[in-house]
Amino acid sequence: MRTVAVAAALAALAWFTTDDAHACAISLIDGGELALNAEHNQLTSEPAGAATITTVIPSLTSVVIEVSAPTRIAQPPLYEPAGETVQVRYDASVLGLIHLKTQGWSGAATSFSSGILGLGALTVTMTVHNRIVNNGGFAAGSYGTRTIVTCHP
Amino acid sequence: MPSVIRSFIVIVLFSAIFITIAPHFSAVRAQSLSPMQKDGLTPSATKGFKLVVGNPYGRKMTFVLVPMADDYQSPVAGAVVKPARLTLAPGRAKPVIFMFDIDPQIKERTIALCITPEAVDGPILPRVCGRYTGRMR
Repeated sequence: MRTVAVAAALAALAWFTTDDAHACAISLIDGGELALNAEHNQLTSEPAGAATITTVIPSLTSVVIEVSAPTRIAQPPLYEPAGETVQVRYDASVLGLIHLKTQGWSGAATSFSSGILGLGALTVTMTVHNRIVNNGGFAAGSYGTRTIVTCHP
Repeated sequence: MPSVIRSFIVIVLFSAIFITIAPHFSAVRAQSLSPMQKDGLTPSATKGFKLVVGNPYGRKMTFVLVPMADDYQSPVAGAVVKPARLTLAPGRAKPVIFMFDIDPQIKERTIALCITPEAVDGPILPRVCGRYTGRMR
């Protein structure tokens, strides 16, 4: 029993003291998409078009997940952007068990810290919604938004 | 129960638990940038770091590496990363060399390196940034 415990402790020590325990990996699982709502005043990813991101974060050291202010990057020529707002909202949790952040609709940059959650590295899943709100409506064509999600020390 | 069998059962159980939880807690094959933070001394006005960029995706991906100000907002001059564009197979990692100039009057510079996929469809651009400090002796 003692041998097993010592071997496990040494294995864990070797595992957690590599640079991997201080790395951050961020992956886009589902890019998401926008659709026009029933009132024709929002292009939104709600309810079913959210983007999903997983971030493998070190839990021995805290990292920051920063979500930039969203911008519109594509629109048809006849679109009138006056009066529009571009917004993002998201939820972040560890394996759906440990809640980290719920951010309501915002047009500004937001962020949260992972904190020190335990040993090794943990997978944070973020569900990110985007929308363009414009009471003037939307001309026919393709629209796109861009939000930068950054993992940094 | 003989102690040998009891020890065997304990080892099997421990291994099973470790194998089950390890993918959730390990970044061993999934880091995009490692280490994310480092500092070091240099005898000259240039400091270099060897970093490792990895591809966490299940397909071949090309990444772009850009030296940025330490607030991660804007590209900066006086820094070079080689290579600045990197194509990686799924789950693979490669080293890159990140070098930047230090003003001899100030003797210290902190700078960031940000990595993004070259081509991403959809509204989200995932990015990993590290922050690195060089100090002149």
